[in-house]
Amino acid sequence: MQKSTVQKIQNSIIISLFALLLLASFILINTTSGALFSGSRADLTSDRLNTLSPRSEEIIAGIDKPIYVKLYLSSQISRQNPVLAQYAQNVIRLLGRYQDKSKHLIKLEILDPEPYGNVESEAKAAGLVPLADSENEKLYFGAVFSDDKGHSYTITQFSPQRMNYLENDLSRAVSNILMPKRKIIGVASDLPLINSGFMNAEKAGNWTFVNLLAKDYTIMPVSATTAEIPNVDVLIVVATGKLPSLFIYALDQYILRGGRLLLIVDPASEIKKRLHPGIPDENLNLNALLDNLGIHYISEQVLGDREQAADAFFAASENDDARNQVYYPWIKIKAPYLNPQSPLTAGLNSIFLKSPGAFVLKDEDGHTTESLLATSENTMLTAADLVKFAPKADVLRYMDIKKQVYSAAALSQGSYHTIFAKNPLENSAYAKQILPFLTTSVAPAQIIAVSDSDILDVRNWTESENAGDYAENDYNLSPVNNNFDFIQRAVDFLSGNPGAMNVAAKKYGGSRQTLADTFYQNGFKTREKNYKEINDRLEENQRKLDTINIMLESNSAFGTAQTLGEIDALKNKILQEKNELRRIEYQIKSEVAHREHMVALINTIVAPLLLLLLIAAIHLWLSHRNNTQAGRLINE
Amino acid sequence: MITVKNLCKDFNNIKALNNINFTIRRGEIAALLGPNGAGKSTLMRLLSGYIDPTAGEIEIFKQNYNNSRRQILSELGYVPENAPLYGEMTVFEFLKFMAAAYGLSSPEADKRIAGLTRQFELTNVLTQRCETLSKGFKQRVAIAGSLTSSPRILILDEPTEGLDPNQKFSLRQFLKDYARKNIVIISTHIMEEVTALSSRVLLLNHGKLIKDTTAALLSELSPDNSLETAFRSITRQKQ
Amino acid sequence: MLKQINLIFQKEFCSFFRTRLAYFVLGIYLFLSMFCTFYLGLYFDVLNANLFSFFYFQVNILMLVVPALTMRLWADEYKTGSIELLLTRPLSYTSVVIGKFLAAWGLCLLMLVCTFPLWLYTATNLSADNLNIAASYFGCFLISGSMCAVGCMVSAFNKNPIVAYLGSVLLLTLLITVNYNFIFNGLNLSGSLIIRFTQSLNFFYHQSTLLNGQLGLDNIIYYATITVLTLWLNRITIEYKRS
Repeated sequence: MQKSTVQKIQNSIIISLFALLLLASFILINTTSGALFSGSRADLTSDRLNTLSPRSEEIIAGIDKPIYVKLYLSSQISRQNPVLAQYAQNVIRLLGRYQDKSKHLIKLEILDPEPYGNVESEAKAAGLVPLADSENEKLYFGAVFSDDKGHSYTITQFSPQRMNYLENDLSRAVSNILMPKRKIIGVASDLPLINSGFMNAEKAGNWTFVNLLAKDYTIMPVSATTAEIPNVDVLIVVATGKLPSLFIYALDQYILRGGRLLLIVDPASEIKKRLHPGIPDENLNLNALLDNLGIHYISEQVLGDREQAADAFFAASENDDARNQVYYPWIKIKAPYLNPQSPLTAGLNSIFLKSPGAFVLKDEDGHTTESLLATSENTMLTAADLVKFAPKADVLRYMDIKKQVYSAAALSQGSYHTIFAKNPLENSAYAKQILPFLTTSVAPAQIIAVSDSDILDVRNWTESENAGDYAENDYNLSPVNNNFDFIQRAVDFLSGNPGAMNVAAKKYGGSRQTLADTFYQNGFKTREKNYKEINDRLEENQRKLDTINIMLESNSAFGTAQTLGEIDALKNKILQEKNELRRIEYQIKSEVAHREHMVALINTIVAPLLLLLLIAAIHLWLSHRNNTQAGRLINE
Repeated sequence: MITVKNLCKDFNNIKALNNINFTIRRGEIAALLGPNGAGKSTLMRLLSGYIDPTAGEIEIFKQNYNNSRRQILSELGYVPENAPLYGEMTVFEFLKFMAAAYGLSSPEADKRIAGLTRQFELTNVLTQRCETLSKGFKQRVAIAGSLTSSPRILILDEPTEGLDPNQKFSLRQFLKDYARKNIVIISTHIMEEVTALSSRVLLLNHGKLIKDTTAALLSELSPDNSLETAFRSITRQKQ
Repeated sequence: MLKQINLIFQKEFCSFFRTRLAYFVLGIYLFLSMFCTFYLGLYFDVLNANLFSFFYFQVNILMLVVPALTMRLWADEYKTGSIELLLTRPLSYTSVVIGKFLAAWGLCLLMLVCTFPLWLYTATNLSADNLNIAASYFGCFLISGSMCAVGCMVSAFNKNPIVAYLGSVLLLTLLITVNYNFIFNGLNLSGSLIIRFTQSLNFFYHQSTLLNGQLGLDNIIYYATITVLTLWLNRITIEYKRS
């Protein structure tokens, strides 16, 4: 009895030892392989979604102290919304890559901000913006980057719309933590870029590009009438008309003192025309300043480009209907005309400009110039005034083809002389209040000149339909053109903060189209002609109605019974046509729903059954063959 | 030749077999005889290599299971108690599988299966699933299966269970024939079988080998010269 | 050895079909996969270039389906006594263990292949990331392999297939959901080494990297160690039961 007990104990000791050994070997093998191989994984996605761009790796390589990343992700999100769940996985995976690459100096923590809990108040305090929620419970999906010194950077909300720019945003966050001292960007403009609330209370706020820059920089408004530029790291000047001479003096002296300037000039600003249609334009007076930088500015001319032209909606002649057609002054600059050699433009896809001015570059003693955005050989020039005031069809008629390459943006750097023969402020009251007049550079300066202010217009580079001049949530914007990336890189470059420059956009989700979208488009195609016809009729009637209304308002017509009857008839028609369009849309939608239902049903029930039948048939055939073999054996 | 020396098998401190010694030569049919729980099946499992002994040695053709398990098993056919089969297979598939398990090539196997089918009258059930067979057929299929490689040793646990008298007769005839050149070991508690078949009787009781003799000599131990009386008196004495 | 493995593989693979288990499991698997893809995964409304809607649920579905394949592999042999028949043939135990495991894994492969029409359908209607999808399928195949091995081992422990099924599901649930971070969180250690250490043991971590098109040697090693160690345990269990 005793002996058996001893043996039992021995056996159990052996078994437990064995189990421990097994567990230990499992842990040992996997921790070793994890340490050895987790940093080097093959990226088996065709768009290299899991590979960080070299610039991101550079930024990560610069990490020398722990960076804490708190990812706030409401668990409800994963349960309620597969689209967001999918995106959350992307974010976590990419953050994991950062973590791996940083040798775990980036410390990722995933927190679930449960409603009314401590974590939620923490997320709120950090400035996270809740997502649209269902049951009055706020759902969060954002991140806070911080370090031991108390610097922090918040991504207020991860939005699937910015999927392709996720790496950009993360790298920018990391580089911000690494370089926590915020540089100051001065902004001087004759356009209402900053906080224009006093002009129009409804449109209070900054332009989107200013808001986006403000994430990384401190923005400081600079008066366009000052005689001396305050102490800023970078100055952005947007000039669409004549600038005060005093300010030109200030700019001249700023450059000679080694200033960093992003100068946006525009002889035919379309955004200005839209914002202030009544204000008459004065011509630009910056030619001397630009010439001095080695950038010859062809006076009051606007560029067109046959090769890179974009579409605009206008009527080709008075008798024609308006439609989308090529409009040469609207240029979508793409590689290779986006200088691939410059870090400012390398890797960008497209920049959309509307009637930019023309630069011709020349290198002079002391400074060099480099074209950043260029036109093709098929360039055309036309007067800025024509573009501003004439119908688009006429503009096309008066464009001259110049077989010459022009630049729409250029970088000039080095030392310069003043543009003034003598100090224009000599003996004035100002002279004593400001820094002494310089005749030549005391430090090398960097200037990026851009010949179009429409590059800043958010409508020209995002696809968000409701993006106005003042978008409420700038983070949600999904760019289609790289206008802002270019501005951001320019500011990064000038401020000496490489930031997330050159982090290329990714292509998550391939075509970025869901199957539902595809079905809808296919459905629409079959009815496109009909839809367009009705739509054209609708627009026509709408125009007629507008004309009558304008005539009535301007008293050039009287509200006779006939006119009123006409208005009623038009209104009826418009209503009918709108209903018709809605009916077509509804038809397509219900077709799509039906198709989806069928596909789901076929895949869930029919296809599996067919496959099983096929397998059963193969099985039956094999057993039949076996039985035949057995039968033959017996007969033999 | 099978040589068993000092064979012991314990199950959780219960001695199932205790110090068994015997030798069986070619040409012999040995019957393991004993009441229920005497250790017959345990001994057969040990001989077939399914379980390992606690102590002692089994030597089969001068080899043992520790060194040359697969070699021994390729010379050995074993049909366990109740003749387990793979119910989902047809008889033909089962025989093919058993032949393949012994490493026979397909044409060899077919030839062998054809012979065994005739021998055990399995022609009508060859394409039938094993689970649908009657007990007698199952028994015959199992025996045929273990004979696919023409093993030199055949170990059958209660082989005539479920067979009708005709089938019993023909099986006995076959086994007698087979044993001329090979070793056959059967376990049974049917006395008539022992008399009809075996040249050796190994009588087991309570895990011990209490008699190693022939059927004739065993029956002489009883006053009425009956094997059954002798079996009863010996096993009861020991209880 | 290979011949023996092949023999057992064929026997077990065919027996899945002979016993109709394969049809049952395949049917359930395909139905669950497609149901989850279309109705829970919002197949039409999600960006599905990498078949996200499909792969998102795969591990959980496989966790429920694979044990149904493996539950009978050993338990039935013990139950009917055919184990005696099998182990007294001149076959090595290792080849029997591997053969049975491969049969289950082969059926998993067939299950995955049966979902290829969805891939085909997606690829013809969207610009699919085929490389990523292929990598995810490979990931599922690896994961199902380790699940098969765990299922085989649990099946070898007992005679009752239902118990084997429930045991496997329980063990797999533990394996998949347990995040080993808690061990160290309790100790209030947060060194980078510790995080790496625990991460490399997490099933979910390896699964998510694999299904996202990141293939590392460590992922393969992780699933290979689970598979090999459990198969080894399986073999030892059989030996242990024999003695």
